[in-house]
Amino acid sequence: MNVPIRCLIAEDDVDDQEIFSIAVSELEGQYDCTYALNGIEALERLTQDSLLPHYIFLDLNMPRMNGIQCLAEIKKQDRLSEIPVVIYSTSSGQSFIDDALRHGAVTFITKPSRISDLVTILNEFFTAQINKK
Amino acid sequence: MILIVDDRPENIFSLKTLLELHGFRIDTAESGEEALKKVLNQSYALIILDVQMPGMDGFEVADAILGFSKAKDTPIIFLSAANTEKHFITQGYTSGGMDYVTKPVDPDILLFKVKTFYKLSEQRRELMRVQNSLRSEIENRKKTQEQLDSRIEELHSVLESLPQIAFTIAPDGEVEYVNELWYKYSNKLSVFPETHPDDSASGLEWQTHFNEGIEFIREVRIKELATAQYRYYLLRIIPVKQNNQIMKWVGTYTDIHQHKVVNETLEQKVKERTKELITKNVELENRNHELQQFAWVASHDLKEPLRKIQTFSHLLRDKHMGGLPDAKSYLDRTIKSSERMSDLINALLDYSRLSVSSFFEKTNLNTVLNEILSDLEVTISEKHAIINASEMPVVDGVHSQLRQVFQNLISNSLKFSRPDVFPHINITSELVSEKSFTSPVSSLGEYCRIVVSDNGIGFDEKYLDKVFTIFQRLNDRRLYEGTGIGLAIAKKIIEKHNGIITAKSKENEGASFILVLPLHQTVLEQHNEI
Repeated sequence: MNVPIRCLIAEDDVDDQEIFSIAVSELEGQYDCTYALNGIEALERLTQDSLLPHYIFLDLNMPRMNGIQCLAEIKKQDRLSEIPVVIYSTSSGQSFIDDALRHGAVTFITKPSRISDLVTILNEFFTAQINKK
Repeated sequence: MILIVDDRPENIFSLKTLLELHGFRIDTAESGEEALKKVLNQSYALIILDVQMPGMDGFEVADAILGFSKAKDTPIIFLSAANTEKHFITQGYTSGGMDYVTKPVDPDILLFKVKTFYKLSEQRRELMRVQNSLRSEIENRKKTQEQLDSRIEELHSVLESLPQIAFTIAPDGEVEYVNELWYKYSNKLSVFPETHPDDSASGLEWQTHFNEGIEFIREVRIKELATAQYRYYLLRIIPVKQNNQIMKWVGTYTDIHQHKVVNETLEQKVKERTKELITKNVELENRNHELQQFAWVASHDLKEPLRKIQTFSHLLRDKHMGGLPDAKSYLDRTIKSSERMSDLINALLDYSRLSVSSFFEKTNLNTVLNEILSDLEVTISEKHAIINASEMPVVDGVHSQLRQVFQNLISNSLKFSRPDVFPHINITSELVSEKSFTSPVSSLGEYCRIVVSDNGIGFDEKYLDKVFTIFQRLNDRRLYEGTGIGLAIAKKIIEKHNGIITAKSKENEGASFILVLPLHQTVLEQHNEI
């Protein structure tokens, strides 16, 4: 019995949320995605609602609390610190990538302009993660 | 020398012998006439004159001698017979003779008298000599004084003629002479012109210089009596030395008021200008920074919706346009346009990023070329392009920027190849002595001239300027893809490296891009420009 893979996605842009879900739907396997509109909402979902996802995807540029700040907060909590966090952004600057990795993100994904490209990237990511386990 | 005059040789003889024995030099004459002749030619200390002589007697001779100025003071001793009348004696004395000796001559007495007169004569001669030398000394002194006076007069007239206030100070510190202009600033010769209260220290400073005997130079403000206004003058008081002694001090006040005023105005203007410039500079830097940020934010923010356009367009085309060929074709063109927009935004971002200053480092152009050839590998093999590159130098530059230049040039050459001809690109480099396209080759040159030439479609050189201008394209965009920014970027980069770039070409006969770069940069940070 395969447990659906739970993902929490913090993304302030609804279009991007939709793009992400379309991409996920093309992946092999079952995925259960929860969306939050910003870092604060994401933390609320994680703490107050006791949501324990397998993976967390954080957009970098979000209002109120951005991806890096949220990442830092997540890493502070023991029960959450083990969850692989991906920083997911339009920016591709090396400094952003380094920053994300330094704060504990397992990888940095630049938002591609084709959904098919995103599918490929996510496939590679999940496969690599499963192989790690 | 003593002259003995007697008509009797035996008398002369005896006298002569006597006197010669006592060391006197003797001359003789046997008559009055002979005596006179001798006196004319020679001066004698004493004349012994016989009174009784035939022809001219002694008194007549004495008279004659008196009349002769050169000899008139010569003492005369008359020799006379014992029984000469008294009146002869007085006549003798009044004739200028000095003494009388009666015959027969007592040799001792005569000797006494001769010696005395001789001594007297000598003394008189000495006196005369001293008197003369004193007289000539006085003459000299007078002459020197006259010279000195005329020098001083000259000095005064020169000082008077000067446009400056001139004065002289004696070694004791008192003002001894002032020219006319002095009185415009002071009523009295002994009183210096009044100085401005702020310059009051000058008095003490002058004292110190005076005491130490050194030149005194200072700018002072002195009050013009007529207007009661202070004017700027340059005061100079210089010691005049002779044999290391200060003879006098010569001073001048030179009017520098005009200069001072103009100078102060200039300084003020310069200060203002500098302030303006600094402000402008800060403004410029701020504007530059804002523009930078604007460019970055704009392109970044523009990229967002663009990405969505691309994503959804792809989605639409790939998933839903299966049976709608027309719609699919429209979407294709939409997608193409959005890709082009993406390229343009990226190119603009690159161009705007060039306004940021970078630091020059040693850049090996061979490495740069190799990187580019590796990046363009796919295109090069697709087009069967042949690229020859000679040895490139190491220059002070920004690696990423120089890479951009060569990348743009080479990809242009690849892009604008003739359809039926394999692209052939040559990249050469040589050292030249001057920063010019036609400078002669020099192994010690400080510049390198690099030429990237191809055998592509070329362009008409009359459009040379356009070629390097942003967004100016010479070709139909449908035939040759490109943003139209590549060469503009290359030019900007070369200029930021303090180099020059140009191109030579003929339509359908290929193009050569020539750049001249300095090997070394003197300022390590690139110059910023808007």
